[in-house]
Amino acid sequence: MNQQSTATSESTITIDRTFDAPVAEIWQAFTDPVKLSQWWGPHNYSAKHWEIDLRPGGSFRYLMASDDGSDSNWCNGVYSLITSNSRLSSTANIENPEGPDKPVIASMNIDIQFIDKGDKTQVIVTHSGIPSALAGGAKEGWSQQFEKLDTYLPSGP
Amino acid sequence: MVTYKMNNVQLDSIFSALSDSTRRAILARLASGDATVNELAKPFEISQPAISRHLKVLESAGLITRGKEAQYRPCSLDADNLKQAHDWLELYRRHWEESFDKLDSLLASTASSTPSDNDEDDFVAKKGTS
Repeated sequence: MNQQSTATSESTITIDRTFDAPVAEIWQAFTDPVKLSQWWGPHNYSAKHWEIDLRPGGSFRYLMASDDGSDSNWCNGVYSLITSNSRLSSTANIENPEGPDKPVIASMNIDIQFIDKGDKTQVIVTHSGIPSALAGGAKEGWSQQFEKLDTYLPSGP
Repeated sequence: MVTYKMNNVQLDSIFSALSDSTRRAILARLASGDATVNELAKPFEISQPAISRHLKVLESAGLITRGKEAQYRPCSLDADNLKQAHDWLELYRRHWEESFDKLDSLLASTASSTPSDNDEDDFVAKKGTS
């Protein structure tokens, strides 16, 4: 096997979803701190204390916290590309729980395309640079790897 | 619940252990029940010592555990650790899918709110263009 011992492999996730709302409303949902606080984050998590400087080179920061209070992390990023109702690109970092001056846990990129479909809006998210902490050459994407692994796991939660 | 604080050293060893197809096949076999080294070696065209080396890698990554008896040391899958590694990446996919579910609900609740809001917007827009 041709393996590297120290390289960190990274994964990309692409999500494509169409929402039942016009593009201006979707754009607002992604850029307005009040709106973001209402939906950003997986189940049992919410994103609080949003600070957003919506301009190229401007930064954002929020606290991702579990509803039961057991887990929380500050996240931040810098906008690299902002085209109203069309495109939003930024870096996406998960800050070190030991402090904002410590090395970040993950340093990723998020690129979001908003496609006007009249009453609906197609949103395509490309979330790249996700660290999979892999030492070794990943010839196939880890998401694919893990899909296969799913079948190895006993079913059920 | 998965956290954002998964131990990186542990993750490294887990992902490294999973990067080999023989080791993944061993895990697949163990998912259906405990097995001895002999039993695990059977389907593979490799020696028992080679299988033992794979098992050591899996054991040190915390993906399997082995019995105590010197002669008969059945291997068991430690699904919790495997699941944790799996969830590390799934966390990001889940972030988007579950966030978007919430956004859908939010949009639905906004749409069902007073239609007079929209009328007002139309009025303002018309006024702006006149």
